[in-house]
Amino acid sequence: MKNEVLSKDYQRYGCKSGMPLFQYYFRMLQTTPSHKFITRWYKFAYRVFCKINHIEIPHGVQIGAGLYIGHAYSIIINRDTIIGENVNIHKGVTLGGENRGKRKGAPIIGNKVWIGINSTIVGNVKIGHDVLIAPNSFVNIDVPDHSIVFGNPCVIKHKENATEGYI
Amino acid sequence: MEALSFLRIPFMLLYKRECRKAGIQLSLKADIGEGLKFEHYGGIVIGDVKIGKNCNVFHNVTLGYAGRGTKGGSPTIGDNVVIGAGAVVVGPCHIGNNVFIGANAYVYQDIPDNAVVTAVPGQIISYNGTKGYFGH
Repeated sequence: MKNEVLSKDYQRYGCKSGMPLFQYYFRMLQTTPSHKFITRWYKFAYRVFCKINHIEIPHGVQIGAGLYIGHAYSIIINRDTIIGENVNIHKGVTLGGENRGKRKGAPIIGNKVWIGINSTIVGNVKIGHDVLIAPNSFVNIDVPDHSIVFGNPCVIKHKENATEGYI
Repeated sequence: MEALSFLRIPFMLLYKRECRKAGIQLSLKADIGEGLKFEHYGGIVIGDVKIGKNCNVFHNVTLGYAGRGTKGGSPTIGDNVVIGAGAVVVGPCHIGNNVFIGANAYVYQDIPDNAVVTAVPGQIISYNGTKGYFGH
């Protein structure tokens, strides 16, 4: 049986050895049907490899195929976030939830999004398709399709093919 | 007690190991009040700072010394302060009680009580503070 989601992830990395191990166990946990011992083993291994890379991604998060994690360190993702296909995530990225106020909830991210180093996306915001989020930016407003986001507080600029050459 | 200082060695080794595992560099000279909470781990650096009670610190936070000569110093932080992900608080500044420092903010100036600080360089956007934050 061929695992389609996993093979798409391998395509993004170029080779099998490039992918961090926690991502392998993350995909296996989501795609394989639940079994008494196998799921327990996958959960254990996933927890161990997450701890090594200082990553906190709950295994129930919806992430589309083709996820690329550049340098896996200190990545924190809320359990209610939804991430689309072909997304790049780098070190220090936070996709956080908000507990109070009008933006209560977690972000929803579209397809073909490039999220730079140390950037933070917080609250119930929608990021469209084909968006480039520059390093160290702070996003707490909705972002339309085909745009570039940078700065703190963030500035949005329209550009066709924003992530061309990046993804 | 000076003579018994060798008893600190195993605790120091354990402390360094746990710091390394959690991705936290926490100075032993830091003066931290009760109720400190690390919400997430990884990339945290805390220098010789003074922190009050019930402080929440997120990941990728830097609190430390900055400046040269007589202008150099470390921050002093009050009670019930929340420091968001990726924030940097450096230099001889004084941060009041109930202050909320937003994610990716850079703070080097004095902040009054109940302020909400965001952006680079740090700007005060409101005086709601950490109202309704604790207890979740």
